[in-house]
Amino acid sequence: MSGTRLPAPAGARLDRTRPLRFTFEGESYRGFTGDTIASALAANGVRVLSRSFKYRRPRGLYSAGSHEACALVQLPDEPNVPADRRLLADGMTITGQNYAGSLARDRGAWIARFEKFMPVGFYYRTFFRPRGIWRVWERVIRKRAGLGRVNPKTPHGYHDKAYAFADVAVIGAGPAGMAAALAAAEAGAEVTLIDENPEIGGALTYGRFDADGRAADEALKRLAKEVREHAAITVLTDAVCTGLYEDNWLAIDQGRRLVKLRARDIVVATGLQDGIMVFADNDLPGIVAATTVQRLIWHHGVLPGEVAVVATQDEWGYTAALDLAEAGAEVSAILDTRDKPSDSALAKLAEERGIEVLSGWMPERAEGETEIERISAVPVDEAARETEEPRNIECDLLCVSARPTPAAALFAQGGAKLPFDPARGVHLPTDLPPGLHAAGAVNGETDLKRVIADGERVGKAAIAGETKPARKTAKKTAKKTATTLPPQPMLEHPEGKSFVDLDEDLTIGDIRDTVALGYQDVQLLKRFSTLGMGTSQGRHANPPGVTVAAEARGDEIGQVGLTTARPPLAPVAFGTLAGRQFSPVRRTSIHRWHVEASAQMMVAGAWLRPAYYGPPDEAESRIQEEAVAVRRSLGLIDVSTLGKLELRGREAGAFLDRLYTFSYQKLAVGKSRYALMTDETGAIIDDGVVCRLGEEHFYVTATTGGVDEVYRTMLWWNAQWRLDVDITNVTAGYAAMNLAGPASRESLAKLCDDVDLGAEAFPYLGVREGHVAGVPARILRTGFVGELGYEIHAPTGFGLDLWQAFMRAGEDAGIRPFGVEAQRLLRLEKGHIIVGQDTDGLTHPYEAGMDWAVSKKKPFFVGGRSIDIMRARGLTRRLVGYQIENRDAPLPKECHLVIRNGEIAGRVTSSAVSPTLGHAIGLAYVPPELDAKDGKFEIRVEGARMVEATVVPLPFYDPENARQEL
Amino acid sequence: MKIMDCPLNGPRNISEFACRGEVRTMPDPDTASDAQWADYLFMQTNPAGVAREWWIHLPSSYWFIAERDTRTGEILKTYPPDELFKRPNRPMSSK
Amino acid sequence: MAEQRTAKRRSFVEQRLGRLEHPGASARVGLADVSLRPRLGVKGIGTIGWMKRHAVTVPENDNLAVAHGAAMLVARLSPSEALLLDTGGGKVMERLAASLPPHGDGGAYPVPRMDTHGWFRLGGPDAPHLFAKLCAVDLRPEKFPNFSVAQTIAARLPVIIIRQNIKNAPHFHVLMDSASALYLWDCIVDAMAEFGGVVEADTDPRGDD
Repeated sequence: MSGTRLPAPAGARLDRTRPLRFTFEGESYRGFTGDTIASALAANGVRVLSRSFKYRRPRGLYSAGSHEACALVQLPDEPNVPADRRLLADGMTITGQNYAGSLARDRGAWIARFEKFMPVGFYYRTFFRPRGIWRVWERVIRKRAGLGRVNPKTPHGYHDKAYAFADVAVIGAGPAGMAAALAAAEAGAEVTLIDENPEIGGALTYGRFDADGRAADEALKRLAKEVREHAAITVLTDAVCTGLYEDNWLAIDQGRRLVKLRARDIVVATGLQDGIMVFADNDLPGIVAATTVQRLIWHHGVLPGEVAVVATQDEWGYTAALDLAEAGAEVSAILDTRDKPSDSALAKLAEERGIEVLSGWMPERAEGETEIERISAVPVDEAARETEEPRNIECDLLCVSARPTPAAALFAQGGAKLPFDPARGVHLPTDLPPGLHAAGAVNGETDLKRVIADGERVGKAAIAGETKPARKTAKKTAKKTATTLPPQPMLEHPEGKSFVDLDEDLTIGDIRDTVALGYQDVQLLKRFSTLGMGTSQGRHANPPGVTVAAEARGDEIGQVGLTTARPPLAPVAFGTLAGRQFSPVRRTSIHRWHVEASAQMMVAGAWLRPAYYGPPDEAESRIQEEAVAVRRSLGLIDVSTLGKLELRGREAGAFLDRLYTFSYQKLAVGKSRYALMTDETGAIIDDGVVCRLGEEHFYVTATTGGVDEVYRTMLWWNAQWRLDVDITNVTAGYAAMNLAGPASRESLAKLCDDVDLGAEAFPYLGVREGHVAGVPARILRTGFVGELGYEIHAPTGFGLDLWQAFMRAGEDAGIRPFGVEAQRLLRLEKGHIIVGQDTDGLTHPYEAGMDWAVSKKKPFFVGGRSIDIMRARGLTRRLVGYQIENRDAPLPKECHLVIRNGEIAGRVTSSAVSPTLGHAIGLAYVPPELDAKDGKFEIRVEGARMVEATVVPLPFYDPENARQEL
Repeated sequence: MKIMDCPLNGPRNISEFACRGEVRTMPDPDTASDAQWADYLFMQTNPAGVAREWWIHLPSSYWFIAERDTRTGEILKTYPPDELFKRPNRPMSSK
Repeated sequence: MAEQRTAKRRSFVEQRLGRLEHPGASARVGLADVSLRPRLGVKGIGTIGWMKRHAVTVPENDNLAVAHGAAMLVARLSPSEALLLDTGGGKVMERLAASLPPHGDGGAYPVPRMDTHGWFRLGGPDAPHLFAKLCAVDLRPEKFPNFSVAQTIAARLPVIIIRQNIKNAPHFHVLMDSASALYLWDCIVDAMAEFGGVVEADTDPRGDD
């Protein structure tokens, strides 16, 4: 059929002065600003939008609320776009999804002919039998799984996230939601009203609640005006609430922005969602939900068919029939599944217009090539079917008003129960937790006046902090109401498929088969059959699915239960979830200098540090040159990333003694000492240096990556010990640089004249406070790289200028900045460990050869007892230094395995070629019996080649430690 | 996102906090047997009911104690550690 | 001979980014790097006693600030920690800093907040909306009254946010790890583009009492 546009007042969302051009499947079409993709296609008579998931059947628009996956289309940069929600844009290039060749003639549709070989649960069955069959099917399934195609070249769009806050959040801006928002706002609450549509009003914007439609119009005008004018109500439109999380935390998808809203109270007024009517080939394009027909007419000015049949299970179908008739369509018949003829004003009006009403009838089968051409209708009652002939009715539109279900998924996420209410034939929320409220149609109300009154009541209850739900349990209501609504009738026909789940292509038979296989529990049934696991998370599929299951089990519907629709309730783009990338980066005060000096920056924890200076293709030689410069003359490295802690107070020394393996209470003022920290299991977790600046003042360094945890751990212990010590993390407060090399003393002397730098006045491991280049500084004589050297700590604000002063002062000595790589090499030559590289989560000090760092005199330190136990049991491995004499052997890498007698006996933790020694050296864990000079072992390097290594005592370089103590 | 009520900073998203496990009492390291010590290190009570746990508010580095019902996830109360640890409470021997 | 006083104190943003341009003022939201203004941390069980001895106005509660005349904003972070921010350019801060030796005074210890923390100031009616894109604490004027203090996380970074009215308009002082100052600066500049926010010069931040 060709589409027809209707004049105003139909098409309220359209701006007809702004036409848009677009293409679908290569054909050019026109639409208007305000059209959705689906409405523009409907206006052009295009009905087949996609192919179905499993059988590749043609599918078109059914519900206009994304309650099933039939209207998902492909944009060049975006798959699975809901055509019923996405607004049309000028120049859009749109295609269908899930087909090969063309949408009209899908080469992949052969799969439907193999239906009998693909029973329900096919996917799971391929895992098991016959053995190995998964390998065969995997390629086919992987290729065919999913719907749209991802374009990997799509640029990352700008998506962000925002937090929002409200006293009361109301989800759904229909009559109940608007009334609730107004009642709460009137009572003084700050209210946020959320709706997925571009305007507020919900069903009032297209629905006809009485014969002349006046009640809806009046309610809309009044409520929408009051909402818009109320200062305490914030309205979020085009906003889909995709999940309800703990403590009333809502995820709201606004396309480019994900809003995370925290509300004290939440009112769910999400109304009803379209059901489907189950008969043979109930998926043919041209079968459209009644509310969709009304939205197409009133929102988009599209008449979706010329000759219509309406199939209904309630009064709503009559309103759609009247809308269609008044818009100019011929309505051939209304099939009302209910036995008793309706005597409502709506029904009378329909009959007055000459529409034939068949009570107790429904479609048995829909027919047509790729879209609907005719239906055959039969009586619902089986006995009557024996006597009555089926009626064949020609039509190009079958407008379906199946029993709608409350959109109640958010209640289940919020912890409420959703029992089946036999009186209303739907699952309704009960046992709502505090702060969660239901209003309107989700409470089972359908009469407009009562819906609005329910909204007002709930809005007031929300602000009053009332938590009592409207209906305590479904059972009590059921007692009052004598009647039980019969289950939805469903029909099958040997020549067609009666779908209960359009997303997953599941039929009545599939559900029966699943139950027959023993998957009776609703949770198992869902997982085996995949019922409700598609894009729409069971919104349309759960009610008929559960009905079939109940019948197959011989149970009441209420006993089958319902699975929880998990968040996200609507598909969310990955870009929205990824959002803006917040990943804090820490830069030292000297960062810009490093970058300008061509440093290659590396990540160390959250910090950026120079790995080496120079182009990457010269990395090896640059690193060696930097190391040699330190050994021969002078180097400068930025060590600002070191953790730095101030510990002050009467018991600061006692505190350090409990925390570190060494003892510090007797450390002299002006001296420093190595600090090794273990956890309670005795494993090494950090190291650094403790400097005593005063009787009750210690300055402690920690590793770059470990300091935050060390700081928290110190505070945690003292929250229990309650010693008189104040602990402060001042890591970012001090720039630190290590001036190292034989020329360091004379170079530092150029900048510092208030500290005696003489070897005796300021010996190795001494600590002094003075001024460098006029800046107050703490100067530590350290030996990490094994040369005469000074670590200068000065306020960060002066860091850059101080660095530049050192570079100038060291010019005569050929000063060279060096990076982390050269530092690692230099410290390896000295046999110093790096915690986390040379230790793992189990390494204790004795294994690491650090007996010397463990005090044997202290009464207690964290980890001490565990270390004693492990030492008594004997070592199982030991960290040793090794060298490789064969200079042609390949260089082992960290984590290469130590092999003895064909077995894994340890691993390499550090490895490098020493420019000073001229051969490869490293650290490795080996069996303790190898811990002897000249012990030999093999390392398996890349390509399974074996390299022989010899254990040598540490340090490799300057074993007398003479150079650092100059 | 759950809310935790920090005794210092008030109610905040749980993502501002980290948990360090149950509040436990260290046995005397000088007198405890190896088995008792190992039990202290590696065995958690893990009750199905009210658990008393250490939590830290990360931006302010503030440690406190939370009582939480592990069956429901409900945080029952939070309080500063000095309600449990009063000087001179020294959980280890000083020989 | 030692090279004296060649080093200059630089702001953390400037140090890492080079020279900052100050394009002007915005009606909606403005961001200023005020990291060069003096500030001092005081910490330890003797903190409040020390403040009283030195006639520093003590906020009544934790996470509350108070204006110490026009000279200074005093924020109390816990029962044993305070942050003093120079808002008047007077000599008070200098005098106080000189009276708190590194080893402490009666259980109060100085913390070099001038260097551990960067300091930004944000103002304008859209500032709370800007923060809503970075931070989960509700900073709207009616929910975060004048002199409120929040120790929280913005853009995954620990921050201290202090509200102070300046010329009757709400402003926010934001303090963060100085090494991450540029990171947060970039996050804020990006987040404020939507509101037409601009970078402002460090004008007189003298607040209302």
